[in-house]
Amino acid sequence: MRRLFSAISLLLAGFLSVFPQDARGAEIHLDEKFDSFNLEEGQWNLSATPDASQWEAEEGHLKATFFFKPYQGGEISRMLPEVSRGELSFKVRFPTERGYDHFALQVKLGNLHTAFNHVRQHEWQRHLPEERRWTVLSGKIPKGEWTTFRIRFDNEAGVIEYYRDEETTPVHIETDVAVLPVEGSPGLELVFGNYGLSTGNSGVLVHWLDDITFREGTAPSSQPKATQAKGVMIFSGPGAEWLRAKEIAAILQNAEVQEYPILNRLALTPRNQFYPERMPTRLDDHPPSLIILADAPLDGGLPPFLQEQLKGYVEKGATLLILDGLFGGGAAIQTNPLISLLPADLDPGPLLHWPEGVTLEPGDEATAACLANHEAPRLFYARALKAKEGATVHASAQGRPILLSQRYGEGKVIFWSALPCGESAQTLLKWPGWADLFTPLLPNEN
Amino acid sequence: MNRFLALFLFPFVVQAEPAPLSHLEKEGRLEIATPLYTATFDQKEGYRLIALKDQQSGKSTSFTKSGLRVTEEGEYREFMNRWFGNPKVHEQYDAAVVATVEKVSGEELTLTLQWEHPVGKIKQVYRFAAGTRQIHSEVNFTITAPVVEFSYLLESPQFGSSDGETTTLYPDETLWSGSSIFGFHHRIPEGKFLYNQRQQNGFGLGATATSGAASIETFLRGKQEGFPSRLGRLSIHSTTTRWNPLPSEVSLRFTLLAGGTPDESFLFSQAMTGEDPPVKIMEVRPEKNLYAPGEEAQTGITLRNRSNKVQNVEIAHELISGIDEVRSLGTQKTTLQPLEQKRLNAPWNAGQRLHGVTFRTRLFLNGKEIDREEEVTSINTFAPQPGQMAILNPAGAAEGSEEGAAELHRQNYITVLEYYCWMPDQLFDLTPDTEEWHPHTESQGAYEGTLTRTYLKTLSQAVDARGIGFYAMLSGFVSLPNIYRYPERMRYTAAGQPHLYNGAIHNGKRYAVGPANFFDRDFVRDWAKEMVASIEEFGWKGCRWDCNFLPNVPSDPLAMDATSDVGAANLQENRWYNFKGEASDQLFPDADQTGAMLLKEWRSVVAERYPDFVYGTNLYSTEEGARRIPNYYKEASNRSLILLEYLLNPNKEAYHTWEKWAYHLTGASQRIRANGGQPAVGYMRGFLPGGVAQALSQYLVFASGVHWAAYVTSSKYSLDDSWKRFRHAMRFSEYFYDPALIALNEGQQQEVTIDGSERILPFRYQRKSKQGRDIVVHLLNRPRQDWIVVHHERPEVRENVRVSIALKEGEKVKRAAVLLPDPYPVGQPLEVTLNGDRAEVVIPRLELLASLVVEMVR
Repeated sequence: MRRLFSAISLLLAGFLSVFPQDARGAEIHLDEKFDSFNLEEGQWNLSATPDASQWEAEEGHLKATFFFKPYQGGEISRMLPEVSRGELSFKVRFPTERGYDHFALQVKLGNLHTAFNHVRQHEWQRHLPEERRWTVLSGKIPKGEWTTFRIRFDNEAGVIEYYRDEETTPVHIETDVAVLPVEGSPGLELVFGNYGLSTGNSGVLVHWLDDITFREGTAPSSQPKATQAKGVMIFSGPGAEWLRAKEIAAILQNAEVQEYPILNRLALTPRNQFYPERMPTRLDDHPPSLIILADAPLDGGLPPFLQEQLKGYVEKGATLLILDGLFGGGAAIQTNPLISLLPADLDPGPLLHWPEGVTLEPGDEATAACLANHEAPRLFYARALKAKEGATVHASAQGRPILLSQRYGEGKVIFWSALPCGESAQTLLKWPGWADLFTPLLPNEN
Repeated sequence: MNRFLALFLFPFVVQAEPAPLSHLEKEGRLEIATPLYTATFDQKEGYRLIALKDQQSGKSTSFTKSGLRVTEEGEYREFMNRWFGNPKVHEQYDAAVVATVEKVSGEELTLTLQWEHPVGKIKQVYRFAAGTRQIHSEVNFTITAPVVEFSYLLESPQFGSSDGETTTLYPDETLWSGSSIFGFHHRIPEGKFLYNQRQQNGFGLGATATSGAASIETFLRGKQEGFPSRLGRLSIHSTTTRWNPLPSEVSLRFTLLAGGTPDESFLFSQAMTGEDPPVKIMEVRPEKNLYAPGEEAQTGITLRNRSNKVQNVEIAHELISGIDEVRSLGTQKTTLQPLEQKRLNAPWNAGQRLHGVTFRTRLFLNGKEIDREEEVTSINTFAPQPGQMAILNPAGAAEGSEEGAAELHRQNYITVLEYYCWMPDQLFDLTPDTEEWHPHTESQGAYEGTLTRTYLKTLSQAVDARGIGFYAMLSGFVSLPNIYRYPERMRYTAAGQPHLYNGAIHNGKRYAVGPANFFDRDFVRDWAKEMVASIEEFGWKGCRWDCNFLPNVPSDPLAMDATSDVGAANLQENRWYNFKGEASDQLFPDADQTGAMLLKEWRSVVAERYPDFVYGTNLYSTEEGARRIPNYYKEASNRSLILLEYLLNPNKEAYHTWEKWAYHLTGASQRIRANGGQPAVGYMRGFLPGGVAQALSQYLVFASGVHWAAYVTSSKYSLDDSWKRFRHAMRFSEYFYDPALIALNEGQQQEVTIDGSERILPFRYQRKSKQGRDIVVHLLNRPRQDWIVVHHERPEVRENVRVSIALKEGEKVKRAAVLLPDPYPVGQPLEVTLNGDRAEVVIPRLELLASLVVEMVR
């Protein structure tokens, strides 16, 4: 049976191959602009009663009028060929009405089911059928203005990436997944539907859709920003404000800096719920020169596949700078892939605390030069650790290593273990030598 | 020109030689011109009125929103396991409207508009006359689907205070901004007029007693109040059509005043109200919702002379306590000029009789009573007892709106107003140093807000002046900057990170909060001292915690029902570590004792300086919950305000019928009142206004001895008639909220039996008195359906409901009365008959709620 569907898919693909190719040579199977749109003439199928949803072209867009009709809101659909790598893109302008409070617009591509939910902060969500739950792809989706959504997938790599607007970094990545036809379907069915669970003040929710495209291949539809050799990735956790990562990134002149904030959701019990707001793509290879983890929580904040990706960058020559914070280190780091890169063994016990403060002392000439130019900062908290064999200690306090580095593969790992806690928060925030301290350790590509 | 001069001049204006009326349709607009003004209607927007231009001055008033608005009934017919959504609103400007202009005569012209909505057909006729600024309009509406109300609206950006452009509301002659996005409703008949003093333009809207209108809403706000734009609004609202049979024909008549002067507005108002009676009591307004025993009080009395003559009148005041105890408060005489509106102050002493009271004023002209008006207030030493509870947050925090916000809550008989999400840090900074700050609380997981010291202090004063306790919300979370500043104070996860409750980034600024390790006496004392400093700064009269001092349960009390017991599995879920890595269950093996001791410490430090400061908290108050933490429960509910947030959702299977919800509410209430506390359930939301579901839920909550806690969004006389029920609960708070009222247990139920419909849900209480005991029975008339959050038809009125009470040996009935909420809270005596060892009373009529009080002596 499966073979039969594949054959039908091939036939469909053959039929649809009359579609043009884009500038990068990717085959475009669908490019719907809604300048003229007629359900009867086009290849879209309508399955909706007028009291559930209405779909019509208006002023060059698709006007989708949704009514409250739980789980029976109606839909339009069309068949696309099965491809192993592809990209679906569509634009939506969501209604601004109050009372827009639950699932309304849903978008399906084969077995991939996403929908937009306004229960919390108007989120784009993905249904995980095997786990029988929804996961958040992205939050704070704007209303009343056009937003572009893209889904890129590579079944061979087992990756699906979700994008918003023209951003080149995904808001969510899934691994070990594939976009496939649902059982019994000859291809990838594309569905735009009304979940029917939302009501506006007027009882009617008008969604506008446009520019629905589906292309084969994973060539990015918009050019990534980080094309230069000197790309910098900053993963910023809760304490990033006090760790001044952007000032360090600025040492690499003309470098393209991309920040990836790590956010936290509701955690009623003592189990932090971190998640990355964005992640670097796995589908385009743009290794950075410098990666900064600024109090970036590893457990949950940076999923293991991302840590492996970062590890790979370091092996190939990138520099990894870890600025420790209350959330970025400690016991949490011990079980994560990046632990093997650290130039020190971390003590999972309490932080070192110097109530009166201690002075940062140089461990090499470069640090000594920095501290000669800037009065050494006083430190109050640090991670207890032991330098690994072969690691270089660039600075310490009361004999405790504070700034260390070590080669890893073709790259380097730098670790700053003093935490911006207590009075240190203000001391480090204002210390003028901060960027100078790291300059000698960073890749010299200026 | 003053209003008295206008009396003489205005008739000449009216009778000026009429010029021909004309109409012109061009570029999608219909203009109707009279010698006094031109009215412009927009064809593309359903022929709504978009401008009124004065012919003499050339000044124009534009309306950004206007026309008829129909609110469809939005309650679910079936149980949906969710709250109601928002009702559908059908706007005239969205409709395909057909217009017809007809010249009735050289002096009169009509504009007829006709359109259809999914809920019915509408025909509206405007009548324009040559010699007057008054435009009469009649709406005839054929309703074919459930509609709760319809209204006519005029909204203009040219009114509202801003940079000296003061707008005054006539005939009240007041400038009072709305409370953020809500206006104030006034009773019909009435004619209101908005006038911009600098631009010298205005517009009015009014309706007569026979107009089919229920209220007129007035709303003003401006840039001066911190809003992005000015906005003046008048709207006429129909009487509710919720219960009309379908289809049905209803009509609404109202009058617009197209420009003119304030002086003319007095005559306009008079034209709407008529002159019978010639002098009317417009308002009786005790300044406060709550007075302390013996406090010197004042009630404002607003009188309006609706006649063209000078009137000498006398007013007499009385206070009614208990069921019907009347105390005379004296009389006052005054003289009113023609069309004058005057406010008098009636001083009185609150006295020592506690609970709710009615302040009644009677108006005499030539020795004959021509009008009377009354208002309810209360006398108590404990703010949570007599009234209901409300909440405010930074969403409506605009300087200048404080008086409006406070007044909205006064009108709803609120005695506790919680200010939510206000502090830069909930442990370390309850006394912000700057004039402006961004609150940094768990709410910033959802939104960002800005507050100013001026706003919060002004609001505190405005609320306090109305006898409403201003309470600070505290959830015991540390803000992200202070998590870094005081890492020793945090609770850590097993992964070695401070526990973060929630967080978000707004406008590039990161917000996050985490629960503190505040489990030591010295720190608790410091926190309490910070609270004392905050009281001194902002005048808080109480607080409401959303946290607890129990070391091994979630910080948010709402999550406590997720914990079963201090068993191993649960402990693992909730175990945290201190800065040194020591586990919480090792540190605090007796969580109950630790929590009780620390809470007592916090309260005692605050009470040392402010003995009347009220402690309030969200508390999981099930029988099992109270058993689990007996010492903490006792300390937390000791003369406290207790929020039962876990009971707020009557969609949950455990609470989703009237009977189940009543069982849980009454049980919690009894446990809390045993310690002198007062429970509130909240924050209730999602009930659509004016329906049976809302009304019965509120009555059920009161009858259970619980207070309604909610966002207050509607003023008196609006479609949301919650205020009437809140008024009743305050007036008879003694019989709803006296901690001495003990619910009869299951074995005692037969001592009080009800012979009536099985749909009557009784709440039986007894209270010991000096001479014997009182029996109080609240009777709730349930509708046919048991689900709470669902549309209900009004339940069948029960007549002659017989209640039989078993008398104990030597007991005699002193008296019996029934307390009824409509149209005003009133206690009516009942006859008692003896039937063997039982006393019987008959309650003649039960609509939704009736409360029986039987006093017995030995």
